[in-house]
Amino acid sequence: MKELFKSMKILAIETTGPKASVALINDRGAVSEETSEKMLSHLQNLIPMIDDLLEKCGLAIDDVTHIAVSEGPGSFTGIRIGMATGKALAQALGIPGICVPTLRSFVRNDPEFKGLVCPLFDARRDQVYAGAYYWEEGSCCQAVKDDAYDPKEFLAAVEGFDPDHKMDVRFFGDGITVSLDSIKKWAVSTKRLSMNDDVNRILADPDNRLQKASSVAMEALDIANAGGAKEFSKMQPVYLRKAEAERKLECRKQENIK
Amino acid sequence: MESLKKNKFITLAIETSCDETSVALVADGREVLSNVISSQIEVHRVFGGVVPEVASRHHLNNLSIVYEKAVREAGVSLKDVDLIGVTAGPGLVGALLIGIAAAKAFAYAAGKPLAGVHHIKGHISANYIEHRDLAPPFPALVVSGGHTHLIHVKGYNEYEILGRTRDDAAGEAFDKVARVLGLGYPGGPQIDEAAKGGNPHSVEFKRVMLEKDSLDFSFSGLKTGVLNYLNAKKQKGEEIIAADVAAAFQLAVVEVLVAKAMAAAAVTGGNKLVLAGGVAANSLLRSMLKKNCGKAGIDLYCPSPLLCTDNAAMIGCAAYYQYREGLVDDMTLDAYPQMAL
Repeated sequence: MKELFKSMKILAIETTGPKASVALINDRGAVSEETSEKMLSHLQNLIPMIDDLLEKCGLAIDDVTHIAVSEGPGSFTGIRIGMATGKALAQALGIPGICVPTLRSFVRNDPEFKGLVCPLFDARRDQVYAGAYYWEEGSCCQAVKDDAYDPKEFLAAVEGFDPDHKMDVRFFGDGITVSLDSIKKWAVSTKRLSMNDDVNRILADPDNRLQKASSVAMEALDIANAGGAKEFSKMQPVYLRKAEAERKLECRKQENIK
Repeated sequence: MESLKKNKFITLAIETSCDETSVALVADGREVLSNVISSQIEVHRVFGGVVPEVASRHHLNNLSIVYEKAVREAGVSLKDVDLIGVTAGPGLVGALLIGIAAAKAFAYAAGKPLAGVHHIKGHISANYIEHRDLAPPFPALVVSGGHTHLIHVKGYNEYEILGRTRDDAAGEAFDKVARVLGLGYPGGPQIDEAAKGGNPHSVEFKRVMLEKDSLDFSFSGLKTGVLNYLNAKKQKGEEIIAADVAAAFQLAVVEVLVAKAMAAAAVTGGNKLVLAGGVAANSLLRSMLKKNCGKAGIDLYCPSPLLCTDNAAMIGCAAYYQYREGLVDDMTLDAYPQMAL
């Protein structure tokens, strides 16, 4: 019954953002990561990247015990490349899958930071996919729920959660670029920053700002330890937004009712 | 479970280029062990056509279920599989990549070779499944929602394009005309059905043959002709009989397709003609081609209606013949929405 004692090796896939990455974590928490140098060719690069990572770790794909996938939100196409690959790997290998909320994974990007982790992704149409998290006694807690927001609305929700500024805030994600003005104005108006302060004080370092498979892997290990791994057939993407055509169809239906 | 493999070469194939999620297992290229097709027609009907984002979401949800069913029906397991084939293009990029991502993952996990297949090659290969004795060379008419091609199939992997549509595909014209006639979606079967009760000579729409000897097609003028006819009728306050318009339109399309296909058969010589693609299920096209081929002493080959629709068995067959000639892909295979034949 050697299998029973086989230690966990979780392969994590992150393709929801502009750069794809894959990571491997064992049950002692040791992580190895491979990141694509190319932007947006996730379909082409994903399996070769997994192959390189496994080779670097001296492992074969059969040694992997769980497939973790960053479930979204993010680029719809990116989410699907990761989820289709992850589901098929789990199905083919007969191993369980783990779906990791992409926004939540940012609590792992900077282990030193203990304040409010606020990832936001550019969702186009003047919106961001965003949420806010913090650590409390070793557990990750949600401060603002994951959703598609107007940036100002999201920032107001962050302020609403911590009006007394008990925690520092830090923003992550490619949504920083499109929301930078809103973030600056918000920080000054809420007195989190003064007029002369550098806004970078509340932004993650540029090289640590985006989605990372190593963060997904760390989150996945916690989920697995808490019994949250599931069968491949139950792995589902999280888009947080309907398809444009579905939205328009619903609008037309509502207008017809009126 | 005892494997049914018995020294057969088994191809697992995946097709997700448009609105059908399909997985098939094919033995020795031509024997279908299973061919599971999950159609999204009902999903897209409310939109009046295929919505790419909606199609992509459904492919992702459906694929693992369709795969399980196909493997179970065939009685083989992934380790029995010798090759994985997948449609690499052309098609909707977001739809294609679901099949390709999964195919690569299956191939990588099981250590099997991978072949990316051109969708039209798949449609032509449906005939190899239907007719076990059919072998190249032959001319082929491929008509579907996205394609209208006359192809000289010189070998299993050698194709010469003799003609193609310069604007709309034949199936696209069917969809658009069905929409304006209020016949619903998908247009092909609806027009076929409506036309059965109509007078095909109620209107004579123009047959666009293009330059003499050209094997190219053009259907946008015909589509405009139908629209103009309907508008003129409306302005005069005259009654529009959808069945008549459908029958007249269908006859105009089919006459052009048949004339050009017969010309292609004459140009390439030989005594075979192959019909393929979704529109190959059209009853008038099948009967008129059959009649004309009969007169010319040509054997007409067409797949049964099920194999005319997008399905993975045809992709498995094409992948098998690619593999036999060493035409395989590595793990960097991408989706090619505009793939050339």
